[in-house]
Amino acid sequence: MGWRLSFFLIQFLTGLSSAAVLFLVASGLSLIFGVTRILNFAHGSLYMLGAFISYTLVQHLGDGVLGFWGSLLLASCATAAIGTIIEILILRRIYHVPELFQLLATFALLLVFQDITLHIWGPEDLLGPQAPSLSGSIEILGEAFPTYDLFLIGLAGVVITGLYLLLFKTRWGVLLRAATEDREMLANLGVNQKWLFTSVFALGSFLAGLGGALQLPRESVSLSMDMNVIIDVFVVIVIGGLGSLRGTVLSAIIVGLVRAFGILIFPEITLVLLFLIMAIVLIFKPHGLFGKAEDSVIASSQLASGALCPAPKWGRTLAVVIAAGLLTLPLFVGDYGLVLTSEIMIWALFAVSLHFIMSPGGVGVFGHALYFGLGAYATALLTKYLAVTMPVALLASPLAAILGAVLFGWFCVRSQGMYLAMLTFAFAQMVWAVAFQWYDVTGGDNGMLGIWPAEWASNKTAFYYMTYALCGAGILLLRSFIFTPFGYALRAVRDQSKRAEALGLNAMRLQWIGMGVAGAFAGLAGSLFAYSKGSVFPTSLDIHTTLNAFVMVMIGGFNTLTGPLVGSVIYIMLETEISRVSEVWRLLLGSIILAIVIFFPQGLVGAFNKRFIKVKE
Amino acid sequence: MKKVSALFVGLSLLTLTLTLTLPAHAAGEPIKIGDINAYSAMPVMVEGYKNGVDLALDEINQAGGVLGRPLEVISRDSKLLPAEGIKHAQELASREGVSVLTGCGGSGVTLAVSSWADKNNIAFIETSAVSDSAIWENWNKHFFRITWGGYMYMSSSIDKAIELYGDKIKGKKWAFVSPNLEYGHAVLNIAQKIADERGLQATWLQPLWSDWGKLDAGATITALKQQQPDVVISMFLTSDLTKFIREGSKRKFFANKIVIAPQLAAPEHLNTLKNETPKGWISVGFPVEDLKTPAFLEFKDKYQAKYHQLPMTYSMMGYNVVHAIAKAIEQAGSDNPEKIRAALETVSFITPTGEQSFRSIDHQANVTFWVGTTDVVNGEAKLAHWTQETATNHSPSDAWILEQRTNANTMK
Repeated sequence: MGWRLSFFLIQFLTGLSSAAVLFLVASGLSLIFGVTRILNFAHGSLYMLGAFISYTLVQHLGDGVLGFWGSLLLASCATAAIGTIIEILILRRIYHVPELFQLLATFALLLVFQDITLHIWGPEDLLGPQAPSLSGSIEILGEAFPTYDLFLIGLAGVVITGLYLLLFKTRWGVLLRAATEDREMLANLGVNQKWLFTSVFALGSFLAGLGGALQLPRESVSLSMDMNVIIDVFVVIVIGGLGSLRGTVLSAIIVGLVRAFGILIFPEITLVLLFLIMAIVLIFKPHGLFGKAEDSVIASSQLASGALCPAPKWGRTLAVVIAAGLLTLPLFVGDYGLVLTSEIMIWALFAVSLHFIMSPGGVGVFGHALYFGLGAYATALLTKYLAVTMPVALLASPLAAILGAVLFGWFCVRSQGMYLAMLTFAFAQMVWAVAFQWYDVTGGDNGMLGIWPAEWASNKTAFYYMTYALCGAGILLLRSFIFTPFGYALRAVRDQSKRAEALGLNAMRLQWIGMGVAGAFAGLAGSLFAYSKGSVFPTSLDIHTTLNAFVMVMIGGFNTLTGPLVGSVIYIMLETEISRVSEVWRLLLGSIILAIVIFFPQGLVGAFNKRFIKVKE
Repeated sequence: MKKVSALFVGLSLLTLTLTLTLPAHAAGEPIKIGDINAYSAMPVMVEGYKNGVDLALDEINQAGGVLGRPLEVISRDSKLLPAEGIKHAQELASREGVSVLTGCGGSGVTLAVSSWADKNNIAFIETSAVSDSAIWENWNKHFFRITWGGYMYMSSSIDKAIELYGDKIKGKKWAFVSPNLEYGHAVLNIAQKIADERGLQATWLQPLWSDWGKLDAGATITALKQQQPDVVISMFLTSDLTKFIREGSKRKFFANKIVIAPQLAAPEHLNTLKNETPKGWISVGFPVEDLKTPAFLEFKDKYQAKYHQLPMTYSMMGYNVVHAIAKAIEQAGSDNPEKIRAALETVSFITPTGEQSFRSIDHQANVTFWVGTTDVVNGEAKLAHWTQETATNHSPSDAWILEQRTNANTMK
């Protein structure tokens, strides 16, 4: 088909207008991240709240010029106020805890806000009015283009200018940039950081609320707005470089345009495209387009401190007792009990593998679902296309995950901190998108069915024992690796990478191998998961799977060895029981996670160790 | 050093054991139906459904229940995650001891639960669907469907277009837009097959796909304009659909186009769009205020008396599925899942729109649905010029269904 010039121009402007909205939301998140180092999931909730609140206000204030714009402005202010309250009540209490924990807290907030919003506004989508005098369109080269979209592009320009002036021409901006560069130094200079943080949070929340409110004339306000926007916005600020204003501008434009033109050129792989761009940018520009190398930052090394010791004699005895207890479980519980315990063991293996790479391994990954999903899909694909037997698939799945880890890990260990986390996330999302959209091979969103265990393992007791043996062995092996020379070397690299390299340890290669080891066991867990459900779906690769394991590790205790085990038992039980008995499970689960983050920042096991057990220094 | 953490493990295991060993049901207790639905992910679809279920339960239990025992529905939230759906199915079947499963929401969850139910010998009745995959390629004998699907949408909508436009719809250019999900691809194939069978000599333009829930409406509309179609089929839902409509009207795209949007006229969408509902689009809906048969009026009055609102699309599915199950249990004379499954194959049950049963080739109920064009009258959006249709008149041939299954099986 011949493409006309007018088409290009209109599509270009359309891309710019979606870039404008992306920028508004992303700039707020980027500002907040720059100063507080929190990657704020709840930013999506604030965006959604901005839309809902402005919808309600417009019902009362009318959709005239004053009523409409007044509602949008008031809604953004209300969102800023909500953001401020969140900062003061919750985030202020957890600035001292490691970043990944803060990420968890904001995820919990997202869950809480989902239920609150549903409760206040009900389940139906709400359609707000059009913007007064901007509801029509103008002719550009003979094609109609919405005036409101032009307005959005202009507004983004105004906001960019405003933010620039604020950052570079005011004292507050100087402080803010100083805080982005070096928080401790700023504190030493006597600047009251508390209110600086609060004000940044308020501004960021205002922008999120504004972004949401501005959607009113374009789409119906719905309960899925939060998750729909937050991933895109993460991608935008990572591509641009965390904390960089001009980076955010540029990357919003890139993402907007790729979306606009991608629909024609690659209509069926738009999902992959977005994460592919992110991965490519991070490979060639490890800190995003305009990000600075992080000096003090993150990550796991900051989380993990103190030694990990092998269990004492009584601890081993207890482990044996529990293991023996689990062996006799089929005598006491019914089918569902065995199914649930099998599931807990599978998740425990997955959580332990995540813990292995993050805590002793010192690599702060945020896409561990990749290996779980690779294991699951390897099992399904081999079963479906090559009709392999279960033992073969169970053996091949970890190998597939290792292959993935070798390939993706090679890029990842060259990156650092939050960018490394985001690179692992990008790879996981890419593979997820492929599984989700490659219908002919993976069945797409319909998944792959009929992946049942072999006949001899098909009854629930037999499957339970198989899971018990494989997961138990996996967990013990991973644990014993920590106390091999390889494990000590990993920890040396994590704690003192320069010294370790001076001793002749190859940091990158060690971490690369570490990712392979963790990936292999995650792959085994994924394969078992596939057999336990009889089917495989793209959700096994998505962010929820990553987050689940992440929550288990964190609530159990990041810097303990039993933490991931305790965490997986508690989390699965909580999630299963709460969503069984309550309609507001997101509110309850979110509140419990928040409480754990605030009151037990070392995780439950970590907190009790600290309180009751003298750790050998 | 790990004394307390060990204590923790111990306590957790104890709780685990306690929860897991809760007693199974005793005789004389309710007969249970396990319901797995997207309560948190698609609350608007489920709200009306649940009301319909509760209304039917009231009726049945006030009349003495089934086999002298009360009927009970236990609901679980699938969160739209297939693995979660299976977990609930396992729990409902083995801990709660339900005799039959019902549910909906997302073809992934449906297929997962269907496959599990087959393996574990319990019937599963789907109550909301677009994808036909579960009754055709991936069908098993434990699967039943009591709702509308993609083929019915397309077949009835295209017939409506022929009825309205006659020969003028022949030899046109057809565009197709949809979320990039399996049901979209399946419906496209069906639309092409039906257009072919009806001799429409359609030219199919490059289909346009969008990420679910994230439609870039402006870009999609521009791309559509570039294609210059005469007929547009849209499979968008909820917020994607409203975006599509608003952007398309602003960009003056819809004028002089025949638009087929099968899901537009569902009350869930019309309640949101109100007077912005586009006029004259061909759609399948539920003209609840226009249905005047005594049986339907009785249902509507009871519903309104209990909930003070009009029934939604899925209210009737919820109401029907409970009555179908109650009838099947009576017929089976037992709460045994396999006996109920067998009874479902032959049971016929009375619904507000007439008697229904499940046909043998794919266990699709001969449901009633309505196809027409959207209109706005006195500020109220509604489905106008509708005709009442049944599943029986809008199904592919048995031979075609069997062929789909064979193809799917040889692929495996």
